[in-house]
Amino acid sequence: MQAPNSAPNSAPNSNWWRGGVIYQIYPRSFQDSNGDGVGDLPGITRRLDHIAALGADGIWLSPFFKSPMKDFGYDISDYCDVDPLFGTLADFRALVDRAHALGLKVMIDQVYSHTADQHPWFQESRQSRDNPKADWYVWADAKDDGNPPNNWLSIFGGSAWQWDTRRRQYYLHNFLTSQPDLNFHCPEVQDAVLGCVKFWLDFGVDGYRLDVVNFYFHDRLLRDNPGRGMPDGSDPAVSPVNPYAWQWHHFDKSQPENLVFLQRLRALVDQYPDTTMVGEIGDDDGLARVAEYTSGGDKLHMAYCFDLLGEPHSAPYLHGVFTRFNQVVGTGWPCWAITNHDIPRVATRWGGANPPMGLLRAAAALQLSLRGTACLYQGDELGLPEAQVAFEDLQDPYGITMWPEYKGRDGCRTPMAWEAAAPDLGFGAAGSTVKPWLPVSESHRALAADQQDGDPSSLLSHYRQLLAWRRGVPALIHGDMTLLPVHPQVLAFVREHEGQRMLCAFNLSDAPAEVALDGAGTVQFDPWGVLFAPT
Amino acid sequence: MNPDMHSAMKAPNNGWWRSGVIYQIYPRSYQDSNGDGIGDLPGITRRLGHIARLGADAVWLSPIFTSPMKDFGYDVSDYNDIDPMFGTLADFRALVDRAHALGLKVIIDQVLSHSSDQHPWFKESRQSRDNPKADWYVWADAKDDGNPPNNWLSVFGGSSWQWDTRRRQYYLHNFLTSQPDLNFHNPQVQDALLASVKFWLDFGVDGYRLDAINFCFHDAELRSNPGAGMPDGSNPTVAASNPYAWQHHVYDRSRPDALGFLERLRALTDQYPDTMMVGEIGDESGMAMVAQYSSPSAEGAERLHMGYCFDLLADRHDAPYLHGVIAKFERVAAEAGGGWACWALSNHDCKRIATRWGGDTPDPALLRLAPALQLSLRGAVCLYQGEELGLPEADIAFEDLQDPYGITMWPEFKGRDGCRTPFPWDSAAPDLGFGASDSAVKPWLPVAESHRALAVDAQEADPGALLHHYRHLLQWRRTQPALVHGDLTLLPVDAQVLAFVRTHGDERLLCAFNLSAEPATLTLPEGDRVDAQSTLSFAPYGVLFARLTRV
Repeated sequence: MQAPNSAPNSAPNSNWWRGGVIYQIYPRSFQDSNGDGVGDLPGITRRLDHIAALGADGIWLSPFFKSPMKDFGYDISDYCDVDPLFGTLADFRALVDRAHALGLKVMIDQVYSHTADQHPWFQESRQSRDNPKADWYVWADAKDDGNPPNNWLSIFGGSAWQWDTRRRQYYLHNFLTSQPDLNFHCPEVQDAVLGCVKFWLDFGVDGYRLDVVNFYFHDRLLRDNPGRGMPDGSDPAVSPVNPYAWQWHHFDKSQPENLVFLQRLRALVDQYPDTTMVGEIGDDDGLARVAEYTSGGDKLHMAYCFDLLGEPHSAPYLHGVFTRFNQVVGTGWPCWAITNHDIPRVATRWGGANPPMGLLRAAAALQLSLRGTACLYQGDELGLPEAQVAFEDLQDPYGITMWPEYKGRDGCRTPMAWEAAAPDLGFGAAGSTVKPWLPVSESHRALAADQQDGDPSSLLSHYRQLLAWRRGVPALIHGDMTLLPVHPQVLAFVREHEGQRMLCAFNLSDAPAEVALDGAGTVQFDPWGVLFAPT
Repeated sequence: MNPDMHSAMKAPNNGWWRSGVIYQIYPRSYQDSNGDGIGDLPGITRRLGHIARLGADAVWLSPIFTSPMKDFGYDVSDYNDIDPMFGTLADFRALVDRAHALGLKVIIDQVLSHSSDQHPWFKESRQSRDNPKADWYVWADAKDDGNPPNNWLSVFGGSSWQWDTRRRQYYLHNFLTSQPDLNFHNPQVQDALLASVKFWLDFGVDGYRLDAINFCFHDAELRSNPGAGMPDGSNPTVAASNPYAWQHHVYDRSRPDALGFLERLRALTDQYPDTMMVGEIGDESGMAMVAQYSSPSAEGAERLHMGYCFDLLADRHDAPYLHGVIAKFERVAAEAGGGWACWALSNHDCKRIATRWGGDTPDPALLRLAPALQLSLRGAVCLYQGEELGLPEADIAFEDLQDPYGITMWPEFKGRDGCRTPFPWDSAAPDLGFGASDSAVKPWLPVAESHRALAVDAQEADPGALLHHYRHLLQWRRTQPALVHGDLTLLPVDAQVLAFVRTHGDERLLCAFNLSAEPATLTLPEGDRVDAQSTLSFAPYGVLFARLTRV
């Protein structure tokens, strides 16, 4: 399907991203090249071959921009420069060139909902109520009792409002207090953000992953969110131990004004050939929002939400997710992730303390046969389990605040496992004596890339085979998706493209299954068994 | 406990504290003896001679107990031990012995309102809703929208409720989130704290300074405080830039339930001779609460010996303001039937008086007036380390800030680090003599260069120095029964001159202070004379002590 391009001066787009496979790199933890214990751009450049050999179409780099690193780069103090921790603009140039030479697109992760409190815009905005950037962030007076203006909560804990003594006002922060929320109702803010987008497009990046893209706008009237009481745990985006889950987020995010801004954004991006954008959407109804934000070909190219990033993964649960999505998707386009830098790794989340190899193979096969684009997270191809990080070693402020019922995001952010025999599993620079910023997980040693590389039965080989095979099956890349009836163990659907039909079926249980599949008769499944059958 | 039993067991008390001069030491910043950049108990012991020479009656040590030091010791994780940073129990024994040998009482600073979140009590309490200490702290369910149960605010910023994921409940903290509020409605909590009080009394301390003592109890119904709107800046306890000042603190503190606990506390300390308790009371009605907390109940049960509030710790210091403060205290003390105040002009929570009253270049005469005024009030006196040197507030760069309160409220309120910098002993020594002799470690807060010329050694050598003025005042005051024991009667309010008469027996001592930078005159009441004069002249910031006679 060719997306309609509304802007008259749109550049051509090969739609490589539709059905593409994007490999997410968390730069702090991929490869350290200078021995400071933190991964960097030259380290990534060195390891791009691994990703090309895997067969991905592009990479998404989590933020490497200037940042005080309170949220590890998701708090940006200069959108248009590289943080020295990660390298230089020249290093990034080298990375992009090498990736392109390998046939990999490069997507960068921009965080426009909020900046760091160290961003010059905020430093100016907080000085007074009447400076030129006074309205660039979301400022509000206290209530008569000194409390914040409404009941909005920060995802990372506490009120979403932080007092500033200079202005004697509160500013909005949906995440850390050091991440003030930009005011997208201010046209100058939109212009400034689009200026940053253009900077990197001109530099030569192929696209954007847009952090919390539905948080750009808030309700101008600052109305209270409705309460929903103690959560039942069914919201995959937020832990039920987090008070944030006690509200319907009607007013603090996902405001209709955002759609107009996304059209401005798309018109800009469309001026550059073969570019794409994928939005992250955490919302009370993520699937509907993904559909809305990617509909019509004039907003985002694609988006992902958290429905496959929760713990439930039974056949009926997944059947429900895809049924619901097919109902709302319209002209939208999803991107499916089963792990990322915000979520416990799928091996542990779905597989528990001793994940069965069959489950890991089924998960990969399932993800890569869904209608949509796939995001793989570094280490998923190795089947890495979630690392156990002791409280004393925690770096993530979210985990420190919500400990112990929610342990934060450090467990999926430990250094990549390259070589089983090398110090720090090959993550560190040779000769470095600096400890990695998060401890290397001993449980990753036997799963290191060098151990799996030559082993045809390894999960890494399975991923490579899947990706290579999939490229030759247009139905998996472009096809429609029709679900077969719900079954307690087996999820099954048909992908169809230009007369080619591929039956895809997955036993998502640890018991054998027998199910009658339309077009394939009665099929016996091993535990975690997978069936691809042209019909 | 049966109160009668306690009165029967009451030990004698010579009342030394009633007009006592208590010298407050901030241990982190007095004298470092082991080169770690932080003051300690052996350092204090070494310097006690300075305090004895000054003429103080006692020392008050800010907290020295085991603590993660998030609030620099006001977050205690073991009430019955010394933090290794400061030394050992043996070090404290040596300090107490040396102080007593010098005739100095030793007052320790107990923080009963809250503990550290590292205290074993809290670690147990937070584990579940039904453990044996589940009710030792103040836990409450969220509202339907996940927000805290009411509108209470932390003094140090934000809601005073912190979520805990284990219990899926909020706990109360009036200060840092790492300072959970103990639940005094639980009798076991009271008993446990009284046991720690007894521990140190048995050890041999002479009394307690009780931190934030009016915060011990909260409203059990958790009612929201009434809003007060944008503050006008007249509240001396909280900066107007702090949202905490936007509420009338009717329900989160200063609850009447506290009185019963104070009576239990007094019954315990009264079993030890010559002991004393002084409470810190931060409240909109601070003086009335000082009076209430330091006066007996209708049944005669005593509470604290004395309290201090923040009315002399404010920026205002003009004669009409101070007249109002004294008049109010005399009134509320009389109404309460025997309240007793301890007056402080500086402490570890407030900007140093030299800067607060004197600005960037304090008038030396004002610095001499301040202690004369403070030491002639009716009540006890707290001097804060460095006040005797006239130290100005230190300017601390944001990058050097240690105080979480200041970091949160920067820049309109800069926190408390500016009065907590290391003590200047020796103008020529590294770190002004604060550090151990060969230490290469930087002090925990930077030494203020503005303190160099005011160091103890420099003032020792100058007979006209403020240090000698303090010594003379303290020595002279001991010889003036009217100042030590007398009643206080204010003269009428005057725009420039604050004047009152201290009366003891037949003696009437006029105490008069020109609190303005201009010359002033004072006309005495009809029939009163000083050296046959009925009209007195004052230089700018002039002070007069004189016998009043009648014609």
